[in-house]
Amino acid sequence: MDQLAVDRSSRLSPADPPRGELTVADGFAAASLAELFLFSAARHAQRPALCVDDVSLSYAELRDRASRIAGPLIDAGLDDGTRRCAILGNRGLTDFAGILGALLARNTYVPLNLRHPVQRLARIAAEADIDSLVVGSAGLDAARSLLQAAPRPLLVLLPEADQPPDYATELRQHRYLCRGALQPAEGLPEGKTDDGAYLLFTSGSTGEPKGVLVRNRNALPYLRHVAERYRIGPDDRCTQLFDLTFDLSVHDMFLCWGAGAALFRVPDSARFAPRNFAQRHQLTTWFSVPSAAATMLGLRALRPGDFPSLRLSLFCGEALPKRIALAWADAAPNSVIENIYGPTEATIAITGFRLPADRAALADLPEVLPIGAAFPGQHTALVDPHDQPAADGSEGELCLAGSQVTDGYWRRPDLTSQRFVRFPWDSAQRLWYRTGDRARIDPRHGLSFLGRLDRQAKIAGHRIELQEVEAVLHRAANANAAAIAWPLGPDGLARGIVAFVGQTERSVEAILDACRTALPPYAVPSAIHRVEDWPLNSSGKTDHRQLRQIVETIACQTPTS
Amino acid sequence: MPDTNVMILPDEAQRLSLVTEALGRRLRQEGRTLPRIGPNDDLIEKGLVDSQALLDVILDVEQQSGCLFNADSIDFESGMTLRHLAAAFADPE
Repeated sequence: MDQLAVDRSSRLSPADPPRGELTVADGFAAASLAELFLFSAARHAQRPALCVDDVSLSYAELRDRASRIAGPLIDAGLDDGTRRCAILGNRGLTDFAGILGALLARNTYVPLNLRHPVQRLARIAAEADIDSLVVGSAGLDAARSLLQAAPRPLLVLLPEADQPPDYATELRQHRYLCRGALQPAEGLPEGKTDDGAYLLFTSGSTGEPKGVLVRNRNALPYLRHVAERYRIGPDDRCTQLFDLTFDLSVHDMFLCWGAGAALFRVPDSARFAPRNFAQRHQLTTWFSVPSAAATMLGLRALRPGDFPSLRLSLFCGEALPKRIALAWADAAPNSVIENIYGPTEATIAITGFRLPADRAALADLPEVLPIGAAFPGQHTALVDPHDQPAADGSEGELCLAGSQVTDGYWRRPDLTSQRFVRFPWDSAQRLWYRTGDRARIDPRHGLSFLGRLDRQAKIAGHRIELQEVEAVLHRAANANAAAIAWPLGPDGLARGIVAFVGQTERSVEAILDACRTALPPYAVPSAIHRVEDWPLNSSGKTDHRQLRQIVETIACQTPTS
Repeated sequence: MPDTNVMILPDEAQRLSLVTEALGRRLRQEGRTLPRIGPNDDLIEKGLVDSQALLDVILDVEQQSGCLFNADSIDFESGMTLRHLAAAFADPE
């Protein structure tokens, strides 16, 4: 390892306290997410930072765990700001510590969700070109497949293992470090604003997931704004509901930790009816997709006064129906409620709409709540089909610009040039991200989301390019035709994906099994219909309108039994 | 003459059976079969329900039994099991 030795003379101690009287806002002036966390860790060392099940870690304890991930990365020379560290898990203590550890070592973290098919994770890991992998005990089996498929040797960090897994003797090209060998970093590299913070993969219309690299300089403007907007402080107790592969989890973690507050991972089972959990922990902030609240409402687990301790409730990821917002306002009577909006490409959220506190004004809102106005320093524009600014009051494609907008898709200049553009009419020549969302500006409420220009769906906030699912379905069914639809529930929220296949020799069970090995759970069709007489439009292409009518006609039937 | 409006309330075992059957029907819609599971197995950990499936199962049992689901009577944090779900179906008022 001598050739990888690093100069630590100018490095920070992980426990250096900030000097003088500082405020939360000073922390958010950090140059990196790592620095933001370290600021709070030094100021609030003994306060709770993270609660997962029955385990609560203070800022000092979480920093120590993260430092034991960062240390080996630094020792291996993987701390030059150009490296990527994958975190294989899903909301476990080791996963949170792994994210922080990667960032402390100037690595971009790449979350890999254990609930997703291993085949897909292996493709993402290869596409991300990862240098290292952090794995908790729950991920050891899945890690084997990833390591078998890895195109180059990796540093594998196993913070919960006392010895390498059996397969380490077979997969000897990788280097395995277990709990006892993970030594805390003695000094940390200074993160740069241009360093990558996280690399997330979203559904891709070409059939393969596409990566979005979000840098510190994209994430920090967002965090600075919401820190000011929501005034989170050390006494706040925040929910953590989002999978780590969902960029809204970045808000969960770093708004909370930047403010010195406590983050409570809501258990999967409790998310359906979290009243007891929220009351026991006296949670003060809530952040979820609207579907979570819709499920609670469906279970009759969202009733007036259920969440009295909440002072802030945020919804993002999909359209927020007024009915859900009204029910939430009754359930959390002391809470400000906001509907925030943004694609991964523009970093977490970039517009927001605050619900009026006045009940009568609430009732006057449209059935799907507006997404409001751009955050300070960010820009929105509606463009018509000729790429000109849409006329006042007309709908157009929503385009976004500003410091939160990322540089483009990871190693995909072809896709980047399609979506990240400059418009001749913009005298500032900003880089605009074309969202594909249709929107209109209402003088009273700002932007309203109207739907999609393409065939992208949101299922419980998860973004799905339907062509990706159809590509998998075609392979799985080996049929002469295959297509999907996404029926909407009474609230206008998608209930899931329904598939159609033409003539095929394969059974429905076999087709679904094949889909499960290639798609994340939320993208797997919930039912498959065989269609003997495939509907075509006048151009000879699949008539999706007719397929949707089939769904509506037989929505209540049991199609595959 | 018996009063045909009187509903015979399902007992605990019957409710468990109703929930199990409803889950089986829901899984068949997805092209899956109900695996061999016990009443105390966590349905989420086993990947058998998500939020939509849970709502569908509850609606199905309500329609089959006339009982109403009462989310208050479940401690969701201790696991989403067939037994917990069955116990949460209160008698119709």
